[in-house]
Amino acid sequence: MGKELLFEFPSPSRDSLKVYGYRFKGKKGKPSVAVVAGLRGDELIQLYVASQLIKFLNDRTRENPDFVLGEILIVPAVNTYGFNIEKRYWPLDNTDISRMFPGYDKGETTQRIAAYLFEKLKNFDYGIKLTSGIRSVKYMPHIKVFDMENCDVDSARDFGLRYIHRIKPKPYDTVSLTYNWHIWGTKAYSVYGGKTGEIDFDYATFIKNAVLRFLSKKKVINYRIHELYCPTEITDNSLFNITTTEAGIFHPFKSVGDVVIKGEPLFTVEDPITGEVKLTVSSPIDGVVFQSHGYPMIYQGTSAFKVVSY
Amino acid sequence: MIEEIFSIDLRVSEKLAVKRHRHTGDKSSSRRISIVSGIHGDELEGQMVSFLLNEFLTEHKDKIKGIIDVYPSVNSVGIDSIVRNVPPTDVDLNRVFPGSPEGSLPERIAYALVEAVKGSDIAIDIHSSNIFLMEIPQIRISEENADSLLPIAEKLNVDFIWIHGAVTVLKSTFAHTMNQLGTKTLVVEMGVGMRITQEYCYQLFDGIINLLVQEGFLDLDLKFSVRKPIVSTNGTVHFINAEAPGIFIPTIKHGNWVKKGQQIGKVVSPLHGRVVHNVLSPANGFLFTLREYPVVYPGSLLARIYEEKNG
Repeated sequence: MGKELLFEFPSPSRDSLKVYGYRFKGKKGKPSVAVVAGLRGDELIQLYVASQLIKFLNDRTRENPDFVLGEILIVPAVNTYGFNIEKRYWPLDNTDISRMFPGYDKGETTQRIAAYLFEKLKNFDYGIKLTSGIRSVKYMPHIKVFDMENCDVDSARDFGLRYIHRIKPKPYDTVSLTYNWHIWGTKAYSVYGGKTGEIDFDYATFIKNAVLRFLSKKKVINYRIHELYCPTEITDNSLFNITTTEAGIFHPFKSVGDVVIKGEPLFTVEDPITGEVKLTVSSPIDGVVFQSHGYPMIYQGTSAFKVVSY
Repeated sequence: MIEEIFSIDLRVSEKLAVKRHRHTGDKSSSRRISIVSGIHGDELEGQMVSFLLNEFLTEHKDKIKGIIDVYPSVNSVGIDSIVRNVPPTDVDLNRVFPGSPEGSLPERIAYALVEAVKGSDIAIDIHSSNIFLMEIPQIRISEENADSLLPIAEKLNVDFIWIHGAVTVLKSTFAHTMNQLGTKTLVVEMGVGMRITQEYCYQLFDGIINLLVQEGFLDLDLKFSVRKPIVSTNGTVHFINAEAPGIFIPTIKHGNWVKKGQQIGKVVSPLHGRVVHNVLSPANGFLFTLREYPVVYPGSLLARIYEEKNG
């Protein structure tokens, strides 16, 4: 119970890498849920959500020792070296711990870190990875589930977020934590939301409450929380990709989560030198903005928005 | 002829372009070979090989049969900015193949390259390890393609051919994609990142010219005595990883045969002034990879040794 040093990894000159977990265990001990954040050093909203979950569970279990019925392990930060020097990946060789699973304890450094972590994350009933997507993109809070044999999409509804994105795993997904959780018999979900390097505090509350709603519905905690959405299941085919044919200053008029109607202006691209409007793009469909380019400048051909069609 | 196979506007007053040098010869042959390098922006050995090839082919353009395409810098902005992955995305281009015309910037570059190379009979993808490891000139082939690729690989004047098992994540590479599409594609690894190892560049250049002659892309009466490479079919590759953090100091030159128990190097603690890992060879074998970058964590790859089982 409480804070545990899951593993420690030595460094030539820096302080050692210390990965902590916070364990909350009730009398039943079942079902069990692992929540992992901070596999990358720029996943700040994910780190923040994990810390808020730990605070919430610490506060509640102090008041009510029977608040937790099952078992919860929260790992708030894995690539702490990255967090401390503003690096997304492992600072020495730029490898992505998030793409090293199930790991190999006799392999390369980040394979070993993944192996030591995965050893602590096996045998949970459910696994939740709080994660970021493409670095320059802002995402609506949503759940991603791999479309694999025995995947449990219905349980993803228990988060109560607006969308469940069901995708077929690609070759590079086979080395992700959620894919390997799934292979090892843990029902796994990725929770997206916000943008790397930032904390959107409203989104953080959404995501924290979504995880609590899941824990509540699975009877892992003795708690009730209001429903938020009746989730809609989407696939890549439901997402309308709106790209820009021009490069320059990206000037959006819509934000993630906004409802848009066909013909409504979404963004302009302005010449960064002369200020001329080079392009105005309107929504080709009615729908909801699922994700948005999140940097003030944009390349030609880049996805500016993805809109979920009605 | 210099051709652009991909071009987009960057944010301010710049285009990102991927270019090839197309050498078109005698129209009697419809065969095509593509030599690709610079998928990783920190790997520069292919820059010199591309220069040598384009210089030679320009001088001998009347001897060319079919089409020889040279793509020196696929990750062109990365090459010019000392960045391995595609800037500013930090995505490894060699993990997003076959790419997508509607996807992210790396996916679109990958897609454009596949579309451009598709239809070639042979492709050679030149890599130079990374900044961490020095590699003897070698070719890496996935087991599933060994039968069709080995005869080509043996003409390339390399020292070692490593036939490795299939790894799912490597299905996202350029070589895997092109082999799936019917282009016989070989991956060359040699030298080290961010540097040019001239002797290796000349060695591979000779090998590629030999291949071009042997495969009928060059009508030249050149006699090469190419090296007979060690092929990994009958042996085991041993990986030697650091067991403690520190600074790696090699005590042997790579490209040599080593004996079991022989010292390869040591990992030392500069602060304590002591050896924390005495690195010994686990087998009698050929040292084809040796760490170049000194800082190591537990797990950092120090060396690879090929042990022949019946040799």
